[in-house]
Order: sequence, then C-alpha cells, then structure tokens
Amino acid sequence: MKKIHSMIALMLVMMLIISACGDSNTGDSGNTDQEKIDAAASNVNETGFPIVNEPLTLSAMVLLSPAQPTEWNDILAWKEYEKMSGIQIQWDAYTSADINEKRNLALASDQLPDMFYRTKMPDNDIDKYGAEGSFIKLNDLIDQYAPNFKAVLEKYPDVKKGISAADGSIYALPNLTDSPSIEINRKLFINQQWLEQVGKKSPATTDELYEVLKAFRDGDPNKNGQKDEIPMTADSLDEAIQVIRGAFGLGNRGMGNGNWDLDPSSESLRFFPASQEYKELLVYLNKLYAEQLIDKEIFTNDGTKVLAKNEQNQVGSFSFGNVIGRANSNADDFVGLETALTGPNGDQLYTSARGNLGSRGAFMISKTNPNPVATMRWIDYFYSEEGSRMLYLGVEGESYQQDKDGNYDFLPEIVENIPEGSSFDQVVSKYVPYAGGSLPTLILEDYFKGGETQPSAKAAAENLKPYLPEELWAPFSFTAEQFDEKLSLETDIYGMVTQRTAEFVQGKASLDEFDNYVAQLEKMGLKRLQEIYEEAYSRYKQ
Amino acid sequence: MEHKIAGWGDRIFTIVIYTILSIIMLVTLYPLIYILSASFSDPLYIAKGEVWLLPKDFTFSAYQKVLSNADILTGYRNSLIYLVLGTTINIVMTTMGAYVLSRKDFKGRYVLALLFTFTLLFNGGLIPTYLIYKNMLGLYNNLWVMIIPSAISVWNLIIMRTYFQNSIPIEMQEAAFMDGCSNIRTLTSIVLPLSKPIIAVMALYYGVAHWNSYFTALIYLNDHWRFPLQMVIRSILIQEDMSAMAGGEGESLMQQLLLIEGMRYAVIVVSSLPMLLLYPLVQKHFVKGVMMGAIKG
Repeated sequence: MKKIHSMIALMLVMMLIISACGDSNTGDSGNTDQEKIDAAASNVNETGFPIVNEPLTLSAMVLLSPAQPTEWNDILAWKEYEKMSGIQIQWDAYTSADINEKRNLALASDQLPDMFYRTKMPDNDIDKYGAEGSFIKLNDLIDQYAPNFKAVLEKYPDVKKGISAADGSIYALPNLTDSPSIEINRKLFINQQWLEQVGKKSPATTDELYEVLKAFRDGDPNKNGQKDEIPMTADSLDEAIQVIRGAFGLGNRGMGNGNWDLDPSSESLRFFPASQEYKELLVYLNKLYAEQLIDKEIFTNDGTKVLAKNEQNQVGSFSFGNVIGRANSNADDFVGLETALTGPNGDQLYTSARGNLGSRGAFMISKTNPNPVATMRWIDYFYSEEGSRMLYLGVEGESYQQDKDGNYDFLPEIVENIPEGSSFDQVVSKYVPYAGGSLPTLILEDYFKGGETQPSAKAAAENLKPYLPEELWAPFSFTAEQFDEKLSLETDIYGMVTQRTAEFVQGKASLDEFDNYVAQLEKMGLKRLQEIYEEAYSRYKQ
Repeated sequence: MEHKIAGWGDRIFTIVIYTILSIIMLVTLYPLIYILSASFSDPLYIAKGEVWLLPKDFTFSAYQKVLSNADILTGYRNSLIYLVLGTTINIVMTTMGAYVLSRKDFKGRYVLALLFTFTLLFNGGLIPTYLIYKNMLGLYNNLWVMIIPSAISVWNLIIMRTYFQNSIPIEMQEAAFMDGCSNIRTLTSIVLPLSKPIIAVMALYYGVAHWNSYFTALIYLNDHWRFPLQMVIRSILIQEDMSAMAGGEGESLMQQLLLIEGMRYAVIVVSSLPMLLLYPLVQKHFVKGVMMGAIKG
C-alpha cells in the first residue's frame, strides 16, 4: 500500500508539472486542431457511408463490463459498423477496477488513445484536460460534421446547457436518454402480495405509506409466524430519501445538481438540506426508523443484502431503479407506486429524476487523433435512431427483428436459450456493446432491453411521470477555480449533511438540534458555496 | 511441558502467556476459517451475514465456478510462469551480485554498493518510468515487464551479501583459490553449497512478491491473456455496482452480485493455496537463513 501511495503522490506531482507546461501551449492548440481537421478531411466523405475512402484505424480506450467479451471487436455491432464506416477501431478495454488508473496514466503521461469511449471520465477532468488541450474542442466539428447530434441538441435544450464548459466549449459528447423509466432514478416498489394480505391499498400520501408499513410490520404478511418483516429497505438511506423527499417539496429541479433546488417562494437557489422542509422529512423518517419500519441495517446495506432479504420474502417495499435488480424469485410481487406521494403540506412531487443528460464525459477525441473529422462522423451515427438501434439491438435479422406491431426485440433463439450459469447480458453482449451503460449515444426506450424497461419499472415510471418537476436541471458547469473551491467546501458540507442526517434519522441526535446543525453548515462556508452555485446558475439560465 | 513448574508465580505467568497467545491465535485464525467456511457456503447466506464460523448449506458451487472460469485459469497459468521464470532470474542475479559485493578484494565495491543502495531510496517516479518502459525499452504490454524491472531487489541483495560475508569464512575461499579455483568455480562449488538456507529464503521472498504483485501488471500490461492471477482476482473482487450508471445492468446485476459474492471467497482460497503450501517446506530454512544473514550483519 505504501508503495502505491507514494506512486500516486508522484503521479500527482507529475500531473502538476505537465499541466503547468501545458498551459503555455493552449493558445495555439485551436489552430493545430483546425489544421488537422483540414488535412484529414480529404479522406472523409461529408455525408453517408462509408465515412472514409481509405481504410482508417483508430485506437480507443473503453471500459469493459464483466458481461462482455474481452476483445471488443468480436461484438457483432462493431463488426457491422466497421464494414459500414470503413473505420477500424483498436479497442483497449479495461475493467472497472483498472480504468481509473489507466485513464489517469494516459492523461498524465500524455500517451493518449485517439479517443476515449466510455472511460468514466469525471466532469472536472473533461474541462481541465480540455482546457489544457488534451481533448479537441468539438463545437465546430459538431456544427459541420454531426447532423444527428446537432438535431439532438435542438430537441433537448437541457443537454446543450449541460455539456458545455463554463466558457461554452464542448470537449465531450454525452450519454443521453429519452426514457422516463431510466431518468426516474429511484422508484419505490411495494409488495402487492403483502398489500392484499394486510388489506391495504397502494399508498398515496406519506401518512398512508406509514400506515401500510406499520401493517406490514405487524400483520405477518409473509405468513411464517415470525416478526421478521422489513417494511421498507434500500441500498442506502439516501436512496430511501430519494423516493420520499418529493412529498416534502425537496429537490424540485431533479437530481442534476444534488442537494440544490429552487426555493418555491423566492425562486432563488436553495440548499435544501438546510431548509425547514428537510427538517419535516427528517421527523418523518425518524418516526419510521424508531418504529422499525425502515430496515435497521439500512446504513450498512448493499445490493446483495437487499437481494438476499428479498429471497427470504422479508421485504415489504424497496427503493431501486427496477425490480429485477433487487428481487429475484419474488420479482412479480412488486409494483411501483400508483401515484406520487402527497406530503403533509400538500406537495405532490416526485423528484428522484434527472433530465436527458445521463453522463457528460462519455466520449472525447484526443489531440493526437489523426482524423478528428472521421471520428466525429463515426460517433455521430450513434445519436441517430438507426445508430442507437445498432448499439442496443445489433443487426436486423442477425440479432433482432421487428414484430407485426412494430416492436423491436432480440431474436427469440438468442434470448430464449440462455445457457445455465450465464446471464441475459452475457448472451446479448456477443451482439451489442451496451452492457455496463453510459455509452456515448441516445438511449431510446423502444430499443433498450435492460431492467429499466421491464414492464414493472416502465409502469412505475408512467405513474410517476405526471408528478415530475416541470424543469429538470442538467449539472451546472463551473470554472476551474470555482471548481476547486467548490470541491473542498462540498467535501466538508456534504459530509456533515450525510452524517447528521443519519444521526437525526437514527434518533442519536434530537431534532431540536436542527437549527444548531444549520448554523454549523453556515460556519463551514455554506454561504460561499451558495455564491458559487448562484454564479453557475446564472450562467446556466442564459 | 516436561519441566516442573516451580511456584505459583511461574504458574500464573504461564497461564497468562497461554491466554494471550490463544487470543492472538484466535484473532489470526478466525479470518482464515471464515474465508474457508464462506467459500463452501451458499452465497445467499453470506450476503445475509449468517455465515460466521461453519459453512452453511455446504456446496462446491463456488469452486466449480472458479475452476471453470477461463480468466482465472489463464491468470493462474500466467502467475506460475511469472513466478518460476521471475524467481529463477532473481536468484541467479542476486547471488551473482551479492557474491561480488561480498568479496573484500574487489575494488570499488563500496561505490557499487552505494549505487545499489541509492535506488533503494530514490526512483524516477511512476510517470517517467512509464514513459521510458513504453517508448524506449519496449516493455509495455510485454511479458518481460513482469520480470526484468524486478530482477534484483536491493534489500534482498544486501541480506545475501551479509550472509556471504559472515557465514562463509574468507579463509575457505582463499583455500579454494590456492587449490586453483576460479571465481566462478568458487561461487558454484564452495559458496553456493554452503548457502542453501539463504537461497531458500530468497526464493520464498521473491516468490511471494511475484505471486502477489499486481501493480506492474495493472500499469504496464494491456492484453487480458497476459494478466497474472492477482489482476483477474482484483477485477472480480472490485466489481463496482454499475447499476447507478444510466442504462443499468438489469437482470444480470442480480446474478452477478450473487455470483461475485460466492466466488469471492473461493478465489481467495484458490489463490493463496500455492503460497500456503510453500511456507511449511521452506520454513525450517527460513528461521535459520534470516537469522544468519541479519543478526551478524
């Protein structure tokens, strides 16, 4: 460990030095980009396929999902697209355990692949290495060579706001979704068998939810004669809060900016964990926790534990994106809420949702790329409907078909013969590369066959959709100096919020201390953080 | 316990010592037993935290999965290659280096030793090293990167030199010269036969280091079929929950979670087995060897 630490420290020092050197060059990087674009453009067809006349090979770094073949070019969709485009990609695929080291090493040592394709690039690194010139600024390329992506930007205004750096530059292409079921991040699923057993109907208010959970606790709905029911659980307390907070009017601009939303009375930016409504939410959660209606292990839970509890039929309700990820043998028992919960003050809002922007840094072109134009045309296809279909379903006739009603699905011989010991994702990963998520593309609900578009999750999303905030923010962008300051403030303040929230819910701290806690946040620099966010927000509004 | 216990004081002393030792033994042993038990249990019970001492719902399924996992088998093979090849080269290089440095009649050995020691304290840092390996030495994504850069551990070299200096009388070597031995002959016929304990210890040190190393592979290797076992295990153990990512993992997430939970422990057992088997074989040399090298130095 010591060795690794010292290596990381050395790496950071080197990064500083390299970035210091890089600064002097940023001025003319715009020119070299443009020259390169012109020089390479001769080999590129402006529209249609193939993209290049002479075969072109590009290298790419990519995150490998465990379900996928280690040789990414073995995936049918890539073989097909290589034939279509004339561009061969040399994939350097790394697992999620290794990708961060590999990506940082490539950036710090300036040994860049031609493109970064799904590399978990943090937002801050996009702006930082973009400004230093490691990534090509894409604004002009998008304008000239990416008709599909341009159309997407016009269709979804929040996306354009979300992907630009503070100065308006675009260095990365994002992962986008157009599917309420994916955009509604966490949904509350309730065990219908149990509801029938205790003679309750699906709750519509927070009070009804409390009654239902209490009935679950006392009514022995799993009929084993033991009081082992867990009325409500989730992977973490935060995920339980996400499905309830809307009823208290919190997070009324979605999840794009974490704990920030708009104060409904003044229409100004609000850090809601310091609001009175948050206190009411804590009072409610504390009541649930004290009466053992929330899993007492929620602070140490993880996905596997929730799954295991479900296998024992001990769970009355849980918060997750879909049913199938957290319930196996009793998956059919779970149904989403029929409507968004109404809170004590009459708020009926569902705020565990984001806009169309899934993640910002899904795709970057590096400065050493020999042909940025061809690369831009190569990636632009996946923001079209056909391209998205190819990524999520593969090739018509070989991996998917369209039925009489116009619905698309994988060929039955593929998905109906899943061998023992392998998963759905493993089987379809021979044909399509989507396993692991966050591809630079626009995900369309009709083509996506993952857990979020299973009927139970889809229906749950449909029920909640009318109660989503009218505007869902994309994450704000910050200038480099602001970002550093924000990061250090957030580490302290958010850490305090998480810690105190847990204490309030567990009852370790009395809620009379709430004002005390707010004062503490103020002392830690909440005002300054608010200023930074307000500046970013005013840029965002433009 | 054949000697007579003299008095109460001694008896209490013995009891206290034994109690403390037993506690320490339990603390050390428990994780091992837990891992062993968990590797034979149904993953569902591990996830629920119901396994704590003995296997629950005894099953070999985790081992079946581990042993039928192609990545793990390739990793095992690679690790064995790196282990055998690497340790052989380590021993040859270290012995030769240590012998030269141990000869008092070798001029300039202090300078040489100093240079060696210098690398013990300072190195070029990750990124310059990376650039040199990749762009100048051609070691990137090359089998030899696992072996050449770590061919000599200066620390082990010093231990070995001290052993040569202190345990093999210089007179013996002089006698060999009188009888007409060359340097090479002295090393192979006189010094090496007398150094078996230290060689065993060095083999163990180097072997364990090779077996456990993953950082070099993480940084310099690219192809999955070259990965040593530790890299494969790492990617199995540090499997992040990807459900948070847009697009989710859906159905397979659940299967993966349980699969990983089950394989986790079996993989640990399988991967530590060779080293656990090696220790008892070398142990008798171990105590002897390290003492000889270290204390008199």
